[in-house]
Amino acid sequence: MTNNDGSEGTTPGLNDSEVAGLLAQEAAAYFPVGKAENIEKMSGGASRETWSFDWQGADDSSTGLILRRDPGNTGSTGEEGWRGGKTTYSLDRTTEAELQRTVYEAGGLVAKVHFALPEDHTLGGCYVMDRIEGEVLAPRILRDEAYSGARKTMARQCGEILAGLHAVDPATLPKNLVQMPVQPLVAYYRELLDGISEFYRDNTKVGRPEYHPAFELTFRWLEQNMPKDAPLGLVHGDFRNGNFVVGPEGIRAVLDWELGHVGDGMEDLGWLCVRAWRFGQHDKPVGGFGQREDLFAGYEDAGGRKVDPKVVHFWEVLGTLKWGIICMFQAYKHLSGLIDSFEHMAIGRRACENEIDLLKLIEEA
Amino acid sequence: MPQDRASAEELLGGVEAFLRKDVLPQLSGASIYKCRVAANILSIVQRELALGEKADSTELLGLQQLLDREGEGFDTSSRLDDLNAELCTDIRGGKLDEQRDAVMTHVRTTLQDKLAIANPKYAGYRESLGE
Repeated sequence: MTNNDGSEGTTPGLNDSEVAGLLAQEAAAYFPVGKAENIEKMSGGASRETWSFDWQGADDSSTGLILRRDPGNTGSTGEEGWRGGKTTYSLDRTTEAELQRTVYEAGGLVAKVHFALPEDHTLGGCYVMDRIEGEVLAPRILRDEAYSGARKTMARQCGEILAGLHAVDPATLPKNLVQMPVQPLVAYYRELLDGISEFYRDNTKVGRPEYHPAFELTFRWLEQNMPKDAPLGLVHGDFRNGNFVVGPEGIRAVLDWELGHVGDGMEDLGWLCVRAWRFGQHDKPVGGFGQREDLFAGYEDAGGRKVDPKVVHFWEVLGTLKWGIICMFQAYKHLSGLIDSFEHMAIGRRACENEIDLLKLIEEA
Repeated sequence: MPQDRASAEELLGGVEAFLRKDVLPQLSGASIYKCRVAANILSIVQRELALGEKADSTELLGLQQLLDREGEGFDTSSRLDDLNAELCTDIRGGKLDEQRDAVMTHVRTTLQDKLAIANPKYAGYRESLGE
């Protein structure tokens, strides 16, 4: 089957009760005794679904579990490639599960994966992992009284988590993990920006490209300030509030490994400082909850390499640029017919928010 | 020939008020978010109708000054496209490195005008205005 974005997909559009039935069946094949209960769809986007269920084992033991799957009809999220996904660096579910297992075995704060099913399975590429209880919604984590203690220590904890993650032995990583050090990453977003703009010029009624001089100034600045000789290792790729499961004591697990790649670990520190994740808490540059000094100290104290704030700043600039281009890409997905969503279309008008921030960021440096 | 009243802005304002006051309170779940986005879109378009033309002519003047094309007439949006394309190509090729400050000033003004339409509440926009 070929999807409407040109990518190959083998998952038929299953309805919710079919998914629930297949899930119960596959879980029964994996776990020795017991049955699946309380199967419930938690969130369903166009491209990714999360299901929750409990495994009722022998002697009344119950394990909370999560299924993460691709419904398979569009196969496209914010960071995935365009032009049929050919330039994508996001992982399929099988590789994501494998990566999560590697990090778990290395002692990382990540949910244990129980089993994964391949892309050509009826359920589509998917995997089942432990359900870690806690809060995921960033605005609640940043505002609710219950997390006031967590907020005080999270910047430091993020540094510690990242130091551990970046130290995972590269030899143990999934073989098809993409190498995305700084230059290919910049080239990737250059291609995305140019590709979307060309599409608007050649394939839409409006018939004109988009111009983003602030993005151009940023690309120029990136070329001139590119960090050199960064050691390569595992990078999470989307390490930020919204992908953390948080309890009153702090972060319990890191979610969403689909943008994992091999690159410069400083990318994760910079991305965490991008304004979009502050949700209005502008005096707390680290994810809306903390200060850079604490993040860096946590990183170094946990064995991470010495942090050069200039390099983190570089990655914050690149992160803000990425987010701006992703805003364009969200609108593109609707305007090109990949998805039907006027909300996505409206996000295109938010690219300029990142542009005005970029001017400040590249002027400061 | 101009259309009769209500004007485009007035029409959009009416629909926006309907969405916010009448529709929104009756919704639940994901529709609440969609309805808010829909109302926000209508307010963006109203601001664009009110401010867009002025923003375009300011931008064109700025581009003409920056790229040394003053007095070349400033009537069409294709002119705006041409000069923006030239600006982007020149920045990309490093041709404007020496004039970075002037370029930054022009781009900032353009972006402020854009944000006055797209999202005047945005913190980064307010900061850039010195607030």
